Amino acid sequence: MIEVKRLVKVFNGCTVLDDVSIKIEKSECVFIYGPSGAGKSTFLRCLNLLERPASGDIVFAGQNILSPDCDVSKVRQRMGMVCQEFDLFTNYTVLDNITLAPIKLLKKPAEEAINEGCELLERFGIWDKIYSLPCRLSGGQRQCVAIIRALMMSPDVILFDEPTSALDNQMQLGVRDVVRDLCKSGVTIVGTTHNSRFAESVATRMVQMEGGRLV
Amino acid sequence: MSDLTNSMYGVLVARAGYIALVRAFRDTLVLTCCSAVLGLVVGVLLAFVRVRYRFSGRWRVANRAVICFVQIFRGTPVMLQLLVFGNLWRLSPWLVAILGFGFNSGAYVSEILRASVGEVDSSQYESACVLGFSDYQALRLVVLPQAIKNSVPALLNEFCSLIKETAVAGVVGFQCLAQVATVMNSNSSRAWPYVLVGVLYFIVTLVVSCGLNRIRRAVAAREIRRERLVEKTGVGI
Repeated sequence: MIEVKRLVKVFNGCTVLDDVSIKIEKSECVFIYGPSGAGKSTFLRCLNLLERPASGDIVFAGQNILSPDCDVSKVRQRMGMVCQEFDLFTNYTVLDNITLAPIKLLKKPAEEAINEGCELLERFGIWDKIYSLPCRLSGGQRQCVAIIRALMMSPDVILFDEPTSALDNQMQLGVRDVVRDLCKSGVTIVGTTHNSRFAESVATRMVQMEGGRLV
Repeated sequence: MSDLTNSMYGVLVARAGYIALVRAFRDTLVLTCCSAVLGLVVGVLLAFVRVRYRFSGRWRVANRAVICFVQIFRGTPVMLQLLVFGNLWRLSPWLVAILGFGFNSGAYVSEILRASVGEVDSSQYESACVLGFSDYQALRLVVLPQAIKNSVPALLNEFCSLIKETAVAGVVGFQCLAQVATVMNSNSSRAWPYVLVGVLYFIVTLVVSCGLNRIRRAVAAREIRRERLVEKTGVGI
Protein backbone atom coordinates (compact mmCIF):
# COMPACT_ATOMS: atom_id res chain seq x y z
CA MET A 1 0.00 0.00 0.00
CA ILE A 2 2.73 2.44 1.01
CA GLU A 3 6.40 2.00 0.31
CA VAL A 4 8.87 4.56 1.61
CA LYS A 5 12.36 4.36 0.14
CA ARG A 6 15.42 6.08 1.62
CA LEU A 7 13.51 9.13 2.80
CA VAL A 8 15.59 12.09 3.95
CA LYS A 9 14.22 15.33 5.41
CA VAL A 10 16.46 18.21 6.39
CA PHE A 11 15.39 21.32 8.35
CA ASN A 12 17.91 24.18 8.33
CA GLY A 13 20.87 21.83 7.94
CA CYS A 14 19.56 19.43 10.60
CA THR A 15 18.68 15.94 9.32
CA VAL A 16 15.31 15.07 10.86
CA LEU A 17 14.66 11.92 8.82
CA ASP A 18 17.72 9.96 7.88
CA ASP A 19 17.38 7.29 5.20
CA VAL A 20 14.00 6.01 6.37
CA SER A 21 12.62 3.01 4.50
CA ILE A 22 9.49 1.05 5.36
CA LYS A 23 6.85 -0.97 3.55
CA ILE A 24 3.28 -0.93 4.85
CA GLU A 25 0.78 -3.43 3.51
CA LYS A 26 -2.94 -2.88 3.01
CA SER A 27 -5.03 -3.18 6.22
CA GLU A 28 -1.92 -3.05 8.35
CA CYS A 29 -1.95 -0.98 11.50
CA VAL A 30 1.55 0.33 12.02
CA PHE A 31 2.36 2.52 15.01
CA ILE A 32 5.66 4.36 15.29
CA TYR A 33 6.84 5.09 18.78
CA GLY A 34 9.87 6.87 20.12
CA PRO A 35 11.01 9.86 22.13
CA SER A 36 10.02 13.44 21.35
CA GLY A 37 12.03 14.90 18.48
CA ALA A 38 12.68 11.47 16.96
CA GLY A 39 11.02 12.56 13.71
CA LYS A 40 7.75 10.63 14.04
CA SER A 41 5.44 13.54 13.20
CA THR A 42 7.73 14.75 10.41
CA PHE A 43 7.59 11.27 8.91
CA LEU A 44 3.78 11.37 8.86
CA ARG A 45 3.81 14.90 7.43
CA CYS A 46 6.11 13.70 4.65
CA LEU A 47 3.73 10.82 3.86
CA ASN A 48 0.93 13.38 3.46
CA LEU A 49 3.22 15.78 1.56
CA LEU A 50 2.77 18.54 4.11
CA GLU A 51 6.57 18.44 4.12
CA ARG A 52 8.61 17.84 0.99
CA PRO A 53 11.45 15.38 1.62
CA ALA A 54 14.97 16.29 0.49
CA SER A 55 15.34 12.92 -1.20
CA GLY A 56 13.80 9.48 -1.37
CA ASP A 57 10.56 8.08 -2.77
CA ILE A 58 7.08 7.49 -1.41
CA VAL A 59 5.04 5.02 -3.43
CA PHE A 60 1.33 5.01 -2.56
CA ALA A 61 -1.00 2.57 -4.34
CA GLY A 62 1.63 2.05 -7.03
CA GLN A 63 2.21 5.75 -7.68
CA ASN A 64 5.25 7.77 -6.67
CA ILE A 65 3.57 10.69 -4.94
CA LEU A 66 6.73 12.79 -5.02
CA SER A 67 6.74 12.90 -8.82
CA PRO A 68 5.79 16.34 -10.22
CA ASP A 69 2.79 15.00 -12.19
CA CYS A 70 1.12 13.59 -9.06
CA ASP A 71 -2.11 15.30 -7.98
CA VAL A 72 -1.40 16.02 -4.31
CA SER A 73 -5.04 16.84 -3.48
CA LYS A 74 -6.24 13.47 -4.80
CA VAL A 75 -3.56 11.69 -2.78
CA ARG A 76 -4.62 13.52 0.39
CA GLN A 77 -8.27 12.62 -0.20
CA ARG A 78 -7.24 8.94 -0.14
CA MET A 79 -4.79 9.41 2.72
CA GLY A 80 -6.53 11.11 5.62
CA MET A 81 -4.67 12.57 8.55
CA VAL A 82 -5.56 13.43 12.12
CA CYS A 83 -3.09 16.07 13.23
CA GLN A 84 -1.73 16.43 16.74
CA GLU A 85 -3.28 19.89 17.14
CA PHE A 86 -6.67 18.77 15.69
CA ASP A 87 -6.97 22.08 13.76
CA LEU A 88 -10.74 22.12 13.41
CA PHE A 89 -12.08 25.00 11.33
CA THR A 90 -12.87 27.59 13.98
CA ASN A 91 -15.57 29.36 11.97
CA TYR A 92 -17.61 26.21 11.31
CA THR A 93 -19.78 24.13 13.63
CA VAL A 94 -18.90 20.51 14.36
CA LEU A 95 -21.36 19.36 11.69
CA ASP A 96 -19.91 21.71 9.08
CA ASN A 97 -16.38 20.66 10.03
CA ILE A 98 -17.11 17.02 9.32
CA THR A 99 -19.32 17.44 6.25
CA LEU A 100 -17.50 20.23 4.38
CA ALA A 101 -14.93 18.00 2.67
CA PRO A 102 -17.29 15.13 1.66
CA ILE A 103 -19.79 17.61 0.19
CA LYS A 104 -17.25 19.82 -1.59
CA LEU A 105 -14.68 17.25 -2.65
CA LEU A 106 -16.49 13.91 -2.92
CA LYS A 107 -19.70 15.66 -4.13
CA LYS A 108 -21.77 13.67 -1.67
CA PRO A 109 -25.37 14.86 -1.27
CA ALA A 110 -25.60 17.01 1.89
CA GLU A 111 -28.28 14.78 3.44
CA GLU A 112 -26.16 11.66 3.03
CA ALA A 113 -23.08 13.38 4.47
CA ILE A 114 -25.08 14.72 7.43
CA ASN A 115 -26.56 11.29 8.20
CA GLU A 116 -23.15 9.70 8.02
CA GLY A 117 -21.69 12.42 10.24
CA CYS A 118 -24.47 12.04 12.81
CA GLU A 119 -23.87 8.30 13.01
CA LEU A 120 -20.18 8.82 13.71
CA LEU A 121 -20.87 11.60 16.24
CA GLU A 122 -23.26 9.29 18.04
CA ARG A 123 -20.73 6.51 18.03
CA PHE A 124 -18.14 8.80 19.64
CA GLY A 125 -20.73 10.06 22.14
CA ILE A 126 -20.61 13.68 21.11
CA TRP A 127 -23.82 13.92 19.13
CA ASP A 128 -25.05 16.73 21.42
CA LYS A 129 -22.17 18.91 20.21
CA ILE A 130 -23.31 18.76 16.61
CA TYR A 131 -23.96 22.52 16.32
CA SER A 132 -21.25 23.69 18.68
CA LEU A 133 -18.26 25.67 17.54
CA PRO A 134 -14.85 24.05 18.15
CA CYS A 135 -13.99 26.66 20.80
CA ARG A 136 -16.80 25.20 22.96
CA LEU A 137 -15.36 21.67 22.90
CA SER A 138 -12.93 20.00 25.29
CA GLY A 139 -9.59 18.73 23.95
CA GLY A 140 -10.89 15.18 23.81
CA GLN A 141 -14.05 16.17 21.99
CA ARG A 142 -12.02 18.15 19.47
CA GLN A 143 -9.83 15.14 18.84
CA CYS A 144 -12.89 12.98 18.27
CA VAL A 145 -14.26 15.49 15.75
CA ALA A 146 -10.88 15.55 13.98
CA ILE A 147 -10.96 11.76 13.72
CA ILE A 148 -14.55 11.79 12.43
CA ARG A 149 -13.60 14.46 9.88
CA ALA A 150 -10.89 12.18 8.53
CA LEU A 151 -13.21 9.14 8.54
CA MET A 152 -15.89 11.03 6.60
CA MET A 153 -13.64 11.01 3.51
CA SER A 154 -13.55 7.17 3.56
CA PRO A 155 -9.80 7.15 2.95
CA ASP A 156 -7.70 4.09 2.12
CA VAL A 157 -5.09 5.17 4.66
CA ILE A 158 -5.40 7.22 7.84
CA LEU A 159 -2.39 8.82 9.46
CA PHE A 160 -2.82 9.36 13.20
CA ASP A 161 -0.41 11.78 14.83
CA GLU A 162 -0.62 11.10 18.58
CA PRO A 163 -4.31 10.08 18.46
CA THR A 164 -4.73 9.68 22.20
CA SER A 165 -2.72 12.64 23.48
CA ALA A 166 -5.78 14.58 24.68
CA LEU A 167 -8.16 11.72 25.47
CA ASP A 168 -9.28 10.31 28.81
CA ASN A 169 -9.28 6.54 29.34
CA GLN A 170 -12.88 6.11 28.22
CA MET A 171 -12.32 8.01 25.00
CA GLN A 172 -9.05 6.14 24.38
CA LEU A 173 -11.02 2.90 24.45
CA GLY A 174 -13.44 4.42 21.94
CA VAL A 175 -10.60 5.39 19.61
CA ARG A 176 -9.02 1.97 20.04
CA ASP A 177 -12.27 0.30 18.94
CA VAL A 178 -12.56 2.65 15.98
CA VAL A 179 -8.98 1.95 14.87
CA ARG A 180 -9.57 -1.79 15.19
CA ASP A 181 -12.79 -1.60 13.20
CA LEU A 182 -11.05 0.46 10.52
CA CYS A 183 -8.30 -2.13 10.19
CA LYS A 184 -10.91 -4.89 9.92
CA SER A 185 -12.71 -2.97 7.19
CA GLY A 186 -9.50 -2.77 5.16
CA VAL A 187 -8.25 0.72 6.02
CA THR A 188 -4.51 1.02 6.48
CA ILE A 189 -3.45 2.86 9.63
CA VAL A 190 -0.12 4.55 10.24
CA GLY A 191 0.23 6.31 13.56
CA THR A 192 2.62 7.80 16.01
CA THR A 193 2.24 7.63 19.76
CA HIS A 194 3.94 7.97 23.11
CA ASN A 195 1.34 5.66 24.61
CA SER A 196 2.89 2.23 24.10
CA ARG A 197 -0.02 0.48 25.82
CA PHE A 198 -2.45 2.00 23.31
CA ALA A 199 -0.14 1.09 20.42
CA GLU A 200 0.19 -2.52 21.63
CA SER A 201 -3.59 -2.82 21.88
CA VAL A 202 -4.26 -1.80 18.29
CA ALA A 203 -1.10 -2.14 16.17
CA THR A 204 -0.38 -5.12 14.00
CA ARG A 205 3.22 -3.87 13.87
CA MET A 206 5.14 -1.46 16.05
CA VAL A 207 8.22 0.35 14.82
CA GLN A 208 10.65 2.35 16.92
CA MET A 209 12.09 5.62 15.67
CA GLU A 210 15.10 7.31 17.16
CA GLY A 211 17.21 10.19 15.88
CA GLY A 212 15.35 10.23 12.56
CA ARG A 213 15.98 6.54 11.88
CA LEU A 214 13.76 3.49 12.15
CA VAL A 215 15.36 1.11 14.60
CA MET B 1 -27.18 87.23 12.29
CA SER B 2 -29.54 88.74 9.78
CA ASP B 3 -26.56 89.14 7.42
CA LEU B 4 -25.90 85.44 7.67
CA THR B 5 -29.58 84.58 7.14
CA ASN B 6 -29.79 86.90 4.18
CA SER B 7 -26.63 85.44 2.68
CA MET B 8 -27.88 81.87 3.11
CA TYR B 9 -31.31 82.75 1.74
CA GLY B 10 -29.77 84.52 -1.21
CA VAL B 11 -27.46 81.69 -2.20
CA LEU B 12 -29.54 78.66 -1.28
CA VAL B 13 -33.04 79.80 -2.18
CA ALA B 14 -32.93 82.86 -4.44
CA ARG B 15 -30.15 81.47 -6.62
CA ALA B 16 -31.50 77.90 -6.25
CA GLY B 17 -28.23 76.75 -4.65
CA TYR B 18 -30.07 74.08 -2.68
CA ILE B 19 -30.73 72.17 -5.91
CA ALA B 20 -27.00 72.00 -6.64
CA LEU B 21 -26.37 71.05 -3.02
CA VAL B 22 -28.90 68.20 -3.05
CA ARG B 23 -27.61 66.99 -6.42
CA ALA B 24 -23.99 67.08 -5.17
CA PHE B 25 -25.03 65.28 -1.98
CA ARG B 26 -26.67 62.52 -4.03
CA ASP B 27 -23.71 62.30 -6.43
CA THR B 28 -21.25 62.12 -3.54
CA LEU B 29 -23.11 59.20 -2.01
CA VAL B 30 -23.35 57.40 -5.35
CA LEU B 31 -19.65 58.05 -6.03
CA THR B 32 -18.74 56.70 -2.57
CA CYS B 33 -20.81 53.55 -3.04
CA CYS B 34 -19.45 52.87 -6.55
CA SER B 35 -15.87 53.48 -5.41
CA ALA B 36 -16.36 51.29 -2.34
CA VAL B 37 -17.65 48.41 -4.48
CA LEU B 38 -14.75 48.79 -6.93
CA GLY B 39 -12.35 49.12 -4.02
CA LEU B 40 -13.67 45.96 -2.42
CA VAL B 41 -13.37 43.98 -5.66
CA VAL B 42 -9.86 45.30 -6.36
CA GLY B 43 -8.86 44.81 -2.72
CA VAL B 44 -10.07 41.20 -2.58
CA LEU B 45 -8.25 40.36 -5.83
CA LEU B 46 -5.00 42.00 -4.69
CA ALA B 47 -5.23 40.38 -1.26
CA PHE B 48 -5.90 36.99 -2.85
CA VAL B 49 -2.67 37.25 -4.88
CA ARG B 50 -0.65 38.16 -1.79
CA VAL B 51 -2.26 35.55 0.44
CA ARG B 52 -1.87 32.80 -2.15
CA TYR B 53 1.81 33.65 -2.47
CA ARG B 54 2.19 33.61 1.30
CA PHE B 55 0.61 30.19 1.72
CA SER B 56 1.67 28.32 -1.40
CA GLY B 57 4.60 30.32 -2.80
CA ARG B 58 2.78 30.66 -6.15
CA TRP B 59 2.33 33.82 -8.26
CA ARG B 60 5.67 35.34 -7.26
CA VAL B 61 5.71 37.93 -10.08
CA ALA B 62 2.06 38.86 -9.52
CA ASN B 63 2.80 39.26 -5.82
CA ARG B 64 5.63 41.70 -6.60
CA ALA B 65 3.37 43.64 -8.94
CA VAL B 66 0.67 43.85 -6.26
CA ILE B 67 3.18 45.12 -3.69
CA CYS B 68 4.25 47.87 -6.13
CA PHE B 69 0.61 48.77 -6.86
CA VAL B 70 -0.28 49.00 -3.19
CA GLN B 71 2.84 51.01 -2.31
CA ILE B 72 2.19 53.51 -5.11
CA PHE B 73 -1.49 54.03 -4.24
CA ARG B 74 -0.85 54.26 -0.52
CA GLY B 75 2.23 56.40 -0.92
CA THR B 76 0.80 59.20 -3.06
CA PRO B 77 -2.09 61.63 -2.40
CA VAL B 78 -5.43 60.56 -3.81
CA MET B 79 -5.83 64.04 -5.35
CA LEU B 80 -2.70 63.49 -7.48
CA GLN B 81 -3.95 60.05 -8.47
CA LEU B 82 -7.22 61.61 -9.68
CA LEU B 83 -5.30 64.23 -11.68
CA VAL B 84 -3.12 61.55 -13.29
CA PHE B 85 -6.17 59.42 -14.18
CA GLY B 86 -7.98 62.48 -15.54
CA ASN B 87 -5.07 63.47 -17.76
CA LEU B 88 -4.17 59.95 -18.84
CA TRP B 89 -7.49 58.75 -20.16
CA ARG B 90 -9.67 61.80 -20.79
CA LEU B 91 -12.69 60.04 -19.36
CA SER B 92 -15.79 61.65 -17.86
CA PRO B 93 -15.34 63.10 -14.34
CA TRP B 94 -17.59 60.36 -12.98
CA LEU B 95 -15.42 57.54 -14.35
CA VAL B 96 -12.17 59.21 -13.36
CA ALA B 97 -13.43 59.71 -9.82
CA ILE B 98 -14.75 56.15 -9.48
CA LEU B 99 -11.52 54.66 -10.85
CA GLY B 100 -9.32 56.94 -8.76
CA PHE B 101 -11.10 56.41 -5.47
CA GLY B 102 -11.79 52.73 -6.28
CA PHE B 103 -8.13 51.86 -6.93
CA ASN B 104 -6.97 53.92 -3.97
CA SER B 105 -9.48 52.25 -1.68
CA GLY B 106 -8.59 48.85 -3.20
CA ALA B 107 -4.97 49.29 -2.11
CA TYR B 108 -6.07 49.95 1.48
CA VAL B 109 -8.68 47.16 1.46
CA SER B 110 -6.08 44.67 0.24
CA GLU B 111 -3.79 45.58 3.14
CA ILE B 112 -6.69 45.28 5.61
CA LEU B 113 -7.57 41.83 4.28
CA ARG B 114 -3.92 40.73 4.21
CA ALA B 115 -3.51 41.72 7.85
CA SER B 116 -6.73 39.89 8.75
CA VAL B 117 -5.49 36.75 7.01
CA GLY B 118 -2.33 37.08 9.08
CA GLU B 119 -4.50 36.76 12.18
CA VAL B 120 -5.89 33.42 10.97
CA ASP B 121 -3.77 30.54 12.24
CA SER B 122 -1.83 29.01 9.35
CA SER B 123 -2.75 25.55 10.67
CA GLN B 124 -6.30 26.26 9.44
CA TYR B 125 -4.99 26.35 5.88
CA GLU B 126 -2.90 23.26 6.48
CA SER B 127 -5.76 21.23 7.92
CA ALA B 128 -7.89 22.09 4.89
CA CYS B 129 -5.09 20.91 2.60
CA VAL B 130 -4.80 17.69 4.64
CA LEU B 131 -8.42 16.90 3.77
CA GLY B 132 -7.63 17.22 0.07
CA PHE B 133 -8.71 20.79 -0.64
CA SER B 134 -6.58 22.58 -3.22
CA ASP B 135 -4.78 25.70 -2.00
CA TYR B 136 -7.41 27.83 -3.78
CA GLN B 137 -10.29 25.98 -2.07
CA ALA B 138 -8.55 26.10 1.31
CA LEU B 139 -8.21 29.87 1.03
CA ARG B 140 -11.72 30.42 -0.30
CA LEU B 141 -13.61 28.08 2.05
CA VAL B 142 -11.58 28.23 5.24
CA VAL B 143 -9.10 31.11 5.47
CA LEU B 144 -10.87 34.01 3.73
CA PRO B 145 -14.24 33.68 5.56
CA GLN B 146 -12.39 33.96 8.88
CA ALA B 147 -10.24 36.82 7.60
CA ILE B 148 -13.21 38.78 6.26
CA LYS B 149 -14.98 38.42 9.62
CA ASN B 150 -11.87 39.77 11.36
CA SER B 151 -11.58 42.65 8.91
CA VAL B 152 -15.13 44.04 9.13
CA PRO B 153 -14.35 46.87 11.63
CA ALA B 154 -11.36 48.05 9.58
CA LEU B 155 -13.36 47.87 6.34
CA LEU B 156 -16.09 50.03 7.89
CA ASN B 157 -13.45 52.60 8.83
CA GLU B 158 -12.17 52.53 5.27
CA PHE B 159 -15.70 53.20 4.00
CA CYS B 160 -16.09 56.21 6.29
CA SER B 161 -12.69 57.54 5.16
CA LEU B 162 -13.77 57.12 1.55
CA ILE B 163 -16.87 59.27 2.10
CA LYS B 164 -14.67 62.13 3.34
CA GLU B 165 -12.00 61.65 0.67
CA THR B 166 -14.56 62.31 -2.06
CA ALA B 167 -14.28 65.99 -1.08
CA VAL B 168 -11.29 66.27 -3.45
CA ALA B 169 -13.19 64.88 -6.46
CA GLY B 170 -13.70 68.45 -7.64
CA VAL B 171 -10.15 68.54 -9.06
CA VAL B 172 -11.31 66.42 -12.02
CA GLY B 173 -14.49 68.41 -12.54
CA PHE B 174 -16.79 66.21 -10.44
CA GLN B 175 -19.55 68.22 -8.74
CA CYS B 176 -19.00 66.97 -5.22
CA LEU B 177 -20.23 68.68 -2.04
CA ALA B 178 -16.92 70.52 -1.49
CA GLN B 179 -17.00 71.82 -5.06
CA VAL B 180 -20.53 73.17 -4.60
CA ALA B 181 -19.45 74.75 -1.30
CA THR B 182 -16.61 76.52 -3.11
CA VAL B 183 -19.02 77.94 -5.70
CA MET B 184 -21.39 79.09 -2.93
CA ASN B 185 -18.47 80.64 -1.07
CA SER B 186 -17.47 82.62 -4.14
CA ASN B 187 -21.08 83.91 -4.38
CA SER B 188 -21.41 84.79 -0.70
CA SER B 189 -17.81 85.42 0.39
CA ARG B 190 -18.63 83.68 3.64
CA ALA B 191 -17.51 80.54 5.42
CA TRP B 192 -20.97 79.07 6.06
CA PRO B 193 -21.09 76.98 2.82
CA TYR B 194 -18.03 75.05 4.01
CA VAL B 195 -19.52 74.64 7.49
CA LEU B 196 -22.81 73.46 5.97
CA VAL B 197 -21.05 70.90 3.77
CA GLY B 198 -18.91 69.83 6.73
CA VAL B 199 -22.09 69.22 8.73
CA LEU B 200 -23.50 67.14 5.86
CA TYR B 201 -20.33 65.01 5.69
CA PHE B 202 -20.42 64.61 9.46
CA ILE B 203 -24.06 63.48 9.44
CA VAL B 204 -23.45 60.96 6.66
CA THR B 205 -20.38 59.40 8.33
CA LEU B 206 -22.20 59.37 11.68
CA VAL B 207 -25.27 57.65 10.23
CA VAL B 208 -23.13 55.13 8.31
CA SER B 209 -20.87 54.26 11.25
CA CYS B 210 -23.81 54.04 13.69
CA GLY B 211 -25.81 51.89 11.27
CA LEU B 212 -22.93 49.55 10.58
CA ASN B 213 -22.05 49.31 14.27
CA ARG B 214 -25.63 48.40 14.99
CA ILE B 215 -25.50 45.61 12.40
CA ARG B 216 -22.21 44.38 13.87
CA ARG B 217 -23.65 44.35 17.39
CA ALA B 218 -26.80 42.57 16.20
CA VAL B 219 -24.72 39.85 14.52
CA ALA B 220 -22.58 39.43 17.65
CA ALA B 221 -25.68 39.28 19.86
CA ARG B 222 -27.22 36.67 17.57
CA GLU B 223 -24.11 34.51 17.88
CA ILE B 224 -24.13 34.81 21.67
CA ARG B 225 -27.86 33.91 21.80
CA ARG B 226 -27.19 30.89 19.62
CA GLU B 227 -24.27 29.76 21.82
CA ARG B 228 -26.41 30.14 24.95
CA LEU B 229 -29.17 28.12 23.36
CA VAL B 230 -26.69 25.39 22.51
CA GLU B 231 -25.43 25.34 26.09
CA LYS B 232 -28.94 25.35 27.54
CA THR B 233 -30.56 22.70 25.36
CA GLY B 234 -27.54 20.60 24.48
CA VAL B 235 -28.37 20.87 20.81
CA GLY B 236 -28.30 24.14 18.92
CA ILE B 237 -30.50 25.39 16.16
